[in-house]
Amino acid sequence: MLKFTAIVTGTYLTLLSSASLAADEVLHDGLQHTEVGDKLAEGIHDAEHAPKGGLPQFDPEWFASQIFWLAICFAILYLIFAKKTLPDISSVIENRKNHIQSDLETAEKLTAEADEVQDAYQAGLNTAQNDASDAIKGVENISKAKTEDALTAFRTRSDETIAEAEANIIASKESAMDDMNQVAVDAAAAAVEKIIGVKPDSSKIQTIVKNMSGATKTARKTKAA
Amino acid sequence: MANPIQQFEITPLIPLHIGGLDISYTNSALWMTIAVVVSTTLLSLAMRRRALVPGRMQAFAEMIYEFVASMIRENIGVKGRQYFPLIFTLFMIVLLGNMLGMLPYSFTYTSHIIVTAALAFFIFFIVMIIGVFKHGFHFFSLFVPPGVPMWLMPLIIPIEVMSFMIRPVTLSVRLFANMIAGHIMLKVFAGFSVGMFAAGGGLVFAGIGPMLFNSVLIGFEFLIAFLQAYVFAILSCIYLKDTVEIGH
Repeated sequence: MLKFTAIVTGTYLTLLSSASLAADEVLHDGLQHTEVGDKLAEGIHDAEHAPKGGLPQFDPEWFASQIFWLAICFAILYLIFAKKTLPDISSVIENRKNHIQSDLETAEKLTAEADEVQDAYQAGLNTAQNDASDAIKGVENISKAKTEDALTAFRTRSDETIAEAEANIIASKESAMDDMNQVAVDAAAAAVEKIIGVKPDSSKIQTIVKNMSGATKTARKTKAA
Repeated sequence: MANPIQQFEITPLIPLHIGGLDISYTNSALWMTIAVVVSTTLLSLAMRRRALVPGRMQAFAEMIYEFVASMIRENIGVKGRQYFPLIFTLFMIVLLGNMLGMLPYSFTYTSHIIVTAALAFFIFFIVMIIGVFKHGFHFFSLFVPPGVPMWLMPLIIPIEVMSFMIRPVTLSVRLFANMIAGHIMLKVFAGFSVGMFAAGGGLVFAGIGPMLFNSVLIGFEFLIAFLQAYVFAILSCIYLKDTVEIGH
């Protein structure tokens, strides 16, 4: 390819010389109207009057040599770049890209793991909290039941005591009533003996008194009803 | 005052003749060799450590790589990858030629029309050969823009052919003219200062003027040196695009 270019470029030399003459003119025209341009034109002018004549660029003497060495340098540079330098640089850049990619992936994985751990921790915390509140509730229930038991036992006991006391009261009331009846019977018997001088039948009086007290009792009861 | 043209003169260093052709190793060839050595050495040194986190040199080498790669990506497309070493070599050889030319007492091989023309015609023929090889006769539909009425064809086709043929000429003359004009200008202004200093008296102070102006010009020349290498490479990309796809 390079050899080919050298040959082809050589064939184009004739074409080039006219093109470069045009360029020379452009150079003159473009810069003529500035101070710099004047000096530049002067410089070129000077050169044109130099013994060799014209710019060294347009001296075909060294064309072949320059193309030849340019081709060789270009080929060497191309080979070194294509085989060594550019693959080196691209592999380093690729390597870095992969490294960053894998780092990012690792970071993502670690984040996911951390999230999992966080979730597990949260779940553990929740169960622990539930367990604790259950335990507290259980203890509360047990103590409540105990208190209630104790309370009921006490209540039944006190009820029994009260009932017993009430029964005692009723019993003593009744015995007191009986005593009163006896007193009334005795008093009635004594009164009858004193009034009529006859010792009455105590059982008869007893029945009467009993009836009377029974009547009052009933009366009281009906009244109350 | 030194002749501003003198800097472009070619002097043979090692005379060499093959079959009647004078292919002596000249100062021009010497600076081409220096460009090859400098660019390969710099890039190899920069990539020596192949570090994951690049140092200053490596970052610079990768920057040039990415610069050319993105240029190809944007102008040719993904299929342009095959031309990457070619464009990279082209860019480096022109850039080094321009930049080495900024060294005092150096030789600017890109200021020689035959060198720029050789590079431009190389690209031109690559486009032609690969284009015809890949697309066959269809490649010449390049000269027939779409949507042009038939009666305009006799006018359009010669214009398209002409603009295609003129490509290597414009490509080479652009670089050559920029380089030669810049270097002559630098030399002329430097010559003013030297002349004024030599004249002595009040002119010594006046001589500082062109010198300061020249300092600015040198900065400007560095910009042009880079810019022209970029333009050369990007236009080569645009021409090579025709081998990858024909727009119509």
